[in-house]
Amino acid sequence: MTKEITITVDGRKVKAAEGLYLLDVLKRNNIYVPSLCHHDQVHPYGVCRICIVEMELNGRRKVMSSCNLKIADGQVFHTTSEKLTKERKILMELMLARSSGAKEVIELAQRLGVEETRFPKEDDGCIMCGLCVKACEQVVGVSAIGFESRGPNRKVSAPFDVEAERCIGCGSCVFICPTNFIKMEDKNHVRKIPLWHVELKMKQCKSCGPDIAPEKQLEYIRNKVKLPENFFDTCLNCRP
Amino acid sequence: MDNAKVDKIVEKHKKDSCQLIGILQDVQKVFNYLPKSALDHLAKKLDIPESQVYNVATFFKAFSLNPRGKHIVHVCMGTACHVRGAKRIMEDVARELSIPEAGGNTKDMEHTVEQVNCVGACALGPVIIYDGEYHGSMTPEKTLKLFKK
Ligand code: SF4
Ligand code: FES
Ligand code: FES
Repeated sequence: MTKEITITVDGRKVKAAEGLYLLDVLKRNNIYVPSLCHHDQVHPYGVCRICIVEMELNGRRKVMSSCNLKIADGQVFHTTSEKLTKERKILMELMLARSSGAKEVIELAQRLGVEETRFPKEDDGCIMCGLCVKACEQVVGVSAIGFESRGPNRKVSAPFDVEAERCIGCGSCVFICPTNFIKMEDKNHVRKIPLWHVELKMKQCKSCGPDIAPEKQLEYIRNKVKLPENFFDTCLNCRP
Repeated sequence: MDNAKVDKIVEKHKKDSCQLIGILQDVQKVFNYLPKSALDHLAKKLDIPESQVYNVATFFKAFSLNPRGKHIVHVCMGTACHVRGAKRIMEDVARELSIPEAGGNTKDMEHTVEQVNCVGACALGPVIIYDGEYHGSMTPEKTLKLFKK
C-alpha cells in the first residue's frame, strides 16, 4: 500500500496517497484549478500551463504546473494568488488569440476573467494540448496521428497529412479534444474524420440493421482480446 | 531497391529507434531528401508508428520531405549576415535562378536554395554554404559565380 501523506492547500490540510499528481488530488477534494491538456487516462503532458499553482520552497513561492507534479509529504501549495491570476490570464489571452472562435476556450477565458485578447486574433481551434495524439497512443494503442513541424507551424496531423492508415475510426480523439476541433460524421454507413483524411465503412448489425462501429475498429478489438470471428455480427441489443 | 538502401541504414544503426535522427540523416544522404515511401518502410523496420517518424522528420529544418536538387545551397539570413547584405544576395540569386525569394528548387533540379538563420560564422558574413562548403564575405557577384561552376 502507498503511504498516506499530508499536504497543505490554501491553508487547508489535505490527505492523499504519496506520488499522486497534485491536480488529481485537488479535483478529488473539490479545489478548482483550471486545466485543459489534462485527462486522467493519459500521462500528464504539461503543455497548456493553465493548471499552475504556487508551491512554497525555502521561504519562496514557485509557480508550477499541478497536473504533472507528484506530491510529497509536507508540501505547501496555493491555488489562488494575484500572480497566478495574472499568469493564467495571459495564458488565456494567448490561447484566445490562437483560437478566438472556440466556444470552450472563450468560456474558460471568461471564467478566468478574460473578455478580450490584445494579441492578433486567429481562428485555429486547436490549442495544441496533444490529448488526441496521446489518447490514440496510450489509450487506444494505435498511434495513428501525431505532431507535425514546430513553432508556429506545429499542428496535429496524420502522417504526411494524408489518410491516417492506422486509424481504426474509434473516435477517441474526437471525444477527448477539449475544444471540439476534430469533427466526425457517420453517414450512409461510412464514418468520416476529415482532419485525418479517413473514411471507414461501418459494420451493421445482422439482426436489427443499424451501424455498430467501423469494421476496422471491431476487427481491432476482436484481435486484441481474441474474440470469435462472428462476435460483432450483431449489436449489443441483439445478443442472446 | 530503395527499400534495400533503407534496410542497410537501419542495420548500421542496429535497428535502434532511439537513433531515429541519425538514421534519418543517413536516409537523406542517400536520397537527397526524405521520400514518403522510404519513411513508411523505415517505420515498419524500426517497429514504430509512422506518426513518430513524421513528427521528427518535420521537426528539424535540416530534413526535407520534398525532392531537392543535386546541389544544396544555404544562404545565411541570420542577423549578422543580414545586415551585411545577405538579403541582396538572396534577391539576386532568386532572380538569376528564377526561384522564389524564400528559396526553392531550380527547374532543372540542379540546385536547391534554402535560407538558414545563422550558421555560427558571423564574422565571415555574409555566408553561403554550397554543398557543405562555407564561403565567407560573399557578394552577389561572387555568389552567382559559385552557381556557374
Ligand atoms: S485537436 Fe483537440 S485534442 Fe488534439 S491537440 Fe488540438 S485541441 Fe488538443
Ligand atoms: S493541465 Fe497542466 S499543463 Fe495543461
Ligand atoms: S548570421 Fe550568418 S553566420 Fe551568423
